[in-house]
Amino acid sequence: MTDLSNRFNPAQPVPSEPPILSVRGLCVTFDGPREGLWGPPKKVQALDNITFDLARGKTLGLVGESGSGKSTLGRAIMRRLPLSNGRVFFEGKDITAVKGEALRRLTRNIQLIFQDPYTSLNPRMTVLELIAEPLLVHGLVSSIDEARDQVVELLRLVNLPVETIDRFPHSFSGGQRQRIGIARALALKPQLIIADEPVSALDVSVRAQVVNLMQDLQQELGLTYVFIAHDLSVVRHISHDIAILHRGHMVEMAGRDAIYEAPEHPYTKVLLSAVPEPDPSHRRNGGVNAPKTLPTQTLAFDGVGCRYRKCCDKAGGHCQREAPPFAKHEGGHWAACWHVGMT
Amino acid sequence: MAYAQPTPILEVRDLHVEFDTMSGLVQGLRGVSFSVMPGETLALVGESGSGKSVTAQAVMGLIGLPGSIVSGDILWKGQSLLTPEGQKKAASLRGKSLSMVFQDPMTSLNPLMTIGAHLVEVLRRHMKLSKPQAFARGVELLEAVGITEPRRRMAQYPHEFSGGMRQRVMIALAIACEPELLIADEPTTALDVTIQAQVLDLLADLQKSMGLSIVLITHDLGIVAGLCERVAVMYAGSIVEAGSAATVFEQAEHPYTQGLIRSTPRLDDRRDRLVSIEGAPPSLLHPPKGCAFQSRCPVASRQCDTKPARQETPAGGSVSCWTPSLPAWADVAKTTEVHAR
Repeated sequence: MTDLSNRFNPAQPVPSEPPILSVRGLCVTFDGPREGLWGPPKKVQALDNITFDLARGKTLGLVGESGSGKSTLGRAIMRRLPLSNGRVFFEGKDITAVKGEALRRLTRNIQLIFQDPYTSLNPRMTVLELIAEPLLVHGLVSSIDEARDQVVELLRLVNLPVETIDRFPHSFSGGQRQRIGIARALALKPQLIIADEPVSALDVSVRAQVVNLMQDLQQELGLTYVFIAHDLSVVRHISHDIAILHRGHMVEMAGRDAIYEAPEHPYTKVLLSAVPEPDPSHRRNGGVNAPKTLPTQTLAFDGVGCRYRKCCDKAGGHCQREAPPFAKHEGGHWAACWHVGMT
Repeated sequence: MAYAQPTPILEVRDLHVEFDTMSGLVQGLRGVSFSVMPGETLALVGESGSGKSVTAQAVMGLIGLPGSIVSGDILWKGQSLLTPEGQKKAASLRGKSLSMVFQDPMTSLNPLMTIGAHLVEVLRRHMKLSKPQAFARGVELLEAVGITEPRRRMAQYPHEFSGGMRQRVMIALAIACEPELLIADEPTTALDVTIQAQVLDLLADLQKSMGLSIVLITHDLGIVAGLCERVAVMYAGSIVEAGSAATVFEQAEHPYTQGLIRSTPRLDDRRDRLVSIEGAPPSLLHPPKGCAFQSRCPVASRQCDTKPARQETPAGGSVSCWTPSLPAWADVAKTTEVHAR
């Protein structure tokens, strides 16, 4: 394992505990459309050379637009997808190649919270059945009724009234359903939770409730989160570190305040400027302060150079010739851009 | 513009809409009143279920069974659209002078028709153009909404367009007949933030160049602040507060509005916790007799058991609350401080 995380820095104490999750050079490719009718499928590089560490009890905010690979990364960490390259370490153990029973046991420790609480819960199952299902599947209880006590405990944990235990999902509001989803993810007492846009489908006033609940649970249970989001507005409060994905590449990663107050990659700046501010003095005057982003997702990539260069104001000759490495800069700030001062 | 006199282009008066469902009568709208002046942008803000889309549907005449408009009136330049003659007039207005952009660009275009066919159909139907004229106008419209290579794009099908591009096509369709009022129902909710910013800029541009009135329906206060002059905040089927964007954001009167503003995440906010409004909106099947926000309101009192009447605010807006302008949330003062910067 190549150690990319520690250049010598006397100010930074050596971490006492190894990271709970380490990802090294992770790549995922999918088969795209075929060339011609019988030709081989074109490869689509969904994730390219993703590397990061996540410390226990911390939250990594993973931000990217649709098609950036953020959900794919979540699924790759859970080993729900074949990796084409790279390694994933969980609690120091290489889990890149585990399968069968070992993989099943691993999923107890890594659980997922889904985006849409309206479609991710089976409408024909009661709250009890929904939350007890993972326990049953993993053989921790032999019947639903045996799980009742544990389910009651979980409902308390996510602040749902215990008397709702025999109700069906349709009688709950969006925020309450997401709480059921969280309780379901917590049932197996996981260490790491991957939350794939857990609040995107919720109303603003309810969103905060769910995010705050997740923070409380983190404190109480020492959970580690990978929190996936499509914009930068909601992740600031919950994340310790934030990573920005752009077309399968990690373009920037830093502590959260550094991302918001001193963004380095031009794409991060675009994402920040695109978030509408609830402040009438920030008026849109049609195009003047619009972020230059139009072709990011649709632009064909010709294989060399920086992937962001065609939408980038600063792009120069170097950006045409060679892709910038994802490198560590001052203050633990990681970025993939030739224009960020290397130290 | 020919109509310089202060007749609102659209006025909705005390509109009540009910849905007769299996589980009972759902009161979708419980007395909604607002007006839109020519060239003005009004935002209808609210959570899901607050009635903002039902309002738009009512104006567009899209309330179908089991729903029905039980009372109130919708006026277009002072004339009712709900009387028998009015309904006839309304049918000719809709799609032409009064048009709508829907939330989901993925499902609102016919997958079997080219983009050009969509545009040509609308232009021939409402503007009575010939086929070649309609095609030429279609190309212009695509260009106006910022689609590159419009001539080639005319022959393409919706699946060849990305989400943001499809929403641009929807906007092109909506402005094809040079409407006077555009209702945009969550036009950017299904889009990425960067694309959202572009679509909002496009709307702002079109408004300037065409003198369009816009009713923007959204749940995102951020969008409102950047685009709209006036804001109406909806909660549980009624408008609880209305006023100019500047006053509503700076000095929200209703506790719900105050709560909504403080729970909208801000990029410049360094706090570790988001602030939230506890609880959930009431069911409109059995709406509360008193103030609908009572159960979630931190400053609710006995008085709130009776429904508060709408009253004017000093800043020229209106609010339905017994104790308006009372700082309802302990940290609101702090939020506004961050706000003022």
